[in-house]
Amino acid sequence: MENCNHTPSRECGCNTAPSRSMPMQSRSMPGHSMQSRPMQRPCEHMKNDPLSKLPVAMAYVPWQYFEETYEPDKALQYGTIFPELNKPFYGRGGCPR
Amino acid sequence: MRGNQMEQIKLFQWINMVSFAVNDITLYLDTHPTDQNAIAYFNHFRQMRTKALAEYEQLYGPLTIDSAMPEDKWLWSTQPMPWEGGFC
Repeated sequence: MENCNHTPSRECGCNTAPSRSMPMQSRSMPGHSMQSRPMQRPCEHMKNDPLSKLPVAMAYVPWQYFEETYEPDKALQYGTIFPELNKPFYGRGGCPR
Repeated sequence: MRGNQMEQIKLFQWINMVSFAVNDITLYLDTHPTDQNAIAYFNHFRQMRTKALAEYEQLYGPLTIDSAMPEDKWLWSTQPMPWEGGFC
């Protein structure tokens, strides 16, 4: 996490998975939560979000085009023949690089 | 004998590589069934795989039952088991 360019904001929840410790009052008691929680300001992530113009609740998968491929030895090692799909996950959370 | 086993391992590794390439391009083709470059890629590596499996069968015995072409001996059950150093 210390290598993140910008720390995920707790306020907007950008780049953070839903946390179990997140308070649930907002769902069960909307009136109370409005009073007890400060107004959320739109964060920088939202302004720079390239997907912000798209409808919510829809999933998007960009179309893949056949371009470069790895040599067979590298492909087996990386688990994909496509360099653009070689995405090692380090389990460190969603830090943009 | 040792050199022979090295060759066997190398051929086996090559089969793994080309098999993976065939498997992965299959996934791409599932969503891009008319992509000519992908079809050419598939045909190329499928051929390489078939050739390598046949070569392996010829030298060491079949890895899959599809490449088993017994003449005078049923090698499928007589070649070394995986825990005996065999690969299939």
